Amino acid sequence: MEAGGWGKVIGIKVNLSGVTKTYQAGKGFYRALDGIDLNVGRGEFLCLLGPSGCGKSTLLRIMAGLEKASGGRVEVKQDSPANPLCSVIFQEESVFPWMTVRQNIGYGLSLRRVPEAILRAAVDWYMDMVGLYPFADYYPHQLSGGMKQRVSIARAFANDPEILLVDEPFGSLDEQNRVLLQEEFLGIWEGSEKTVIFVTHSIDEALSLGDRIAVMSASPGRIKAEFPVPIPRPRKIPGVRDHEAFREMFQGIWEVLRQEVKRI
Amino acid sequence: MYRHLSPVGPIDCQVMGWGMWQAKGRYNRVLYVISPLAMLMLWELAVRIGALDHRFFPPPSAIVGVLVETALAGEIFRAAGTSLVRIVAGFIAGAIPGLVLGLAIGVIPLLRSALEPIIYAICPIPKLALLPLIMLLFGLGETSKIVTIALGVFFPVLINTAAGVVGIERIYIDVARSFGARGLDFYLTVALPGALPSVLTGIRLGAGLALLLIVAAEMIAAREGIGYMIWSSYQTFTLEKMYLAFLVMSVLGWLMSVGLGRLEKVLVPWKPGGGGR
Repeated sequence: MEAGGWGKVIGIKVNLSGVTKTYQAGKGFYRALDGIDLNVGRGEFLCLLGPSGCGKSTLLRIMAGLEKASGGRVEVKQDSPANPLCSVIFQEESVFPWMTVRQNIGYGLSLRRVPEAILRAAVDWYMDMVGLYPFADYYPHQLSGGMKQRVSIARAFANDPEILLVDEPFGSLDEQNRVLLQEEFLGIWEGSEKTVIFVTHSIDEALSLGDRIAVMSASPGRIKAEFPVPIPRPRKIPGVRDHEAFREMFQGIWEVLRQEVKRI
Repeated sequence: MYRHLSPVGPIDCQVMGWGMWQAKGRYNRVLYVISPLAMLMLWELAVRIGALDHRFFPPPSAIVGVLVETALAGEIFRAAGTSLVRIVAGFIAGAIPGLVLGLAIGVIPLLRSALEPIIYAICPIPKLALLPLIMLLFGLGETSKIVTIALGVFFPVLINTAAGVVGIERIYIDVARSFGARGLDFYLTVALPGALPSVLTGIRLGAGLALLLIVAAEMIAAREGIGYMIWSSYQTFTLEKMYLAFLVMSVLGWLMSVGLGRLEKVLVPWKPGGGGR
């Protein structure tokens, strides 16, 4: 499998086959996911794109082990037993209000009883990467929304997982902050060799960040189409929109997506 | 109509408002001191002219006299100290089990279903009603006082802790699970800190109950303490001492409230408007 540009894809990291999810809703059943087949390559940046309520967050939660699939198979290859398999960056504000920036970022490492010196070095590094070094001992209520999301990103990276599961982390931010954080996210990720599965409803975001885009149908969720993104890395965030592939692909993906949005 | 509009800009208005507020603040502060003093003077005066019966309402000057006398003899400190020790011991004996069981009930639904009906059956019984039983079981010594207070503190701490854990937003539990927090780690990093504001509410409620219970318990069976002081001054009809005991209770209650405020700032520094950074 060939991914666009940067991603060094050697083999398959995540394999989903026939994954379904059914909820009990009142007396009936509600099918959120209906036979998801998807492969994600090692080191690949995959964007899961779909209309609101298509079950893309549910799929992410299943991969994170926070929910159980009703059917199908989820296979994830673990490469290094010393590292955690995946960390999640959540959509809503998810930094612990009772921990300082430093404690939040070090959460995963401290749970794993990583030696204090190593923990401190890792936390300092990622805190610096997201520009929060001066705010190390602040509590989240003293931070802006963008800064809290930066803590959340640093917390996931500092945990050093093999896979990052990212659920629309910039949805609640204003345009300027969103672009800024996309840029920072790419900056940290590029060269980290981590596999990323990034849920978004923004075509723009998916094209800016991803090696490949999997478009989901409206509920029940299925993978409707897949688009490799042939834009080379490293990418500059606002600049990536000027790439000719960006505009062509935007049109093509929108055609697929519009039918799904209309169905809701 | 235009003549009503003054040429004063918004900044001037603010300055005026600020100045008035400051003046008001000064008056408020003066009132804060004057009003209780005025009440004491009025009281003194009313007793002196015979409008108040001095047997039931001994004048403040007489109470101060007894205060100096008992303070010099150390009696008042012994009484307050005895009560305080009982309160603190009862507090620890009640709050810690309440906290631990509350956390467990909040985290483990099975335990919650099993224990909730029992808790809600026992909780509404006024702990004062249990006093005779407690004395039968634990005798007339210190233990029965401590047990009474412990019971009074236990239930509000338990119930508020459990409610605090249940009220923790789901997202934080998801984060903890996704980072692999299990067992004691989960309790210490999420359940306890997340429930802490609610735990402190329980402790505040418990503090109020503790004051109530210590007086009642000491009135019924004790040879020392503030409650005993009130009861013995009733029996010997030395009401100056009784009023002195009221004063001590008031100070004790105030100290507990200040202490709990401090504790909250230390334990929950992350609350908006709470302690430092």
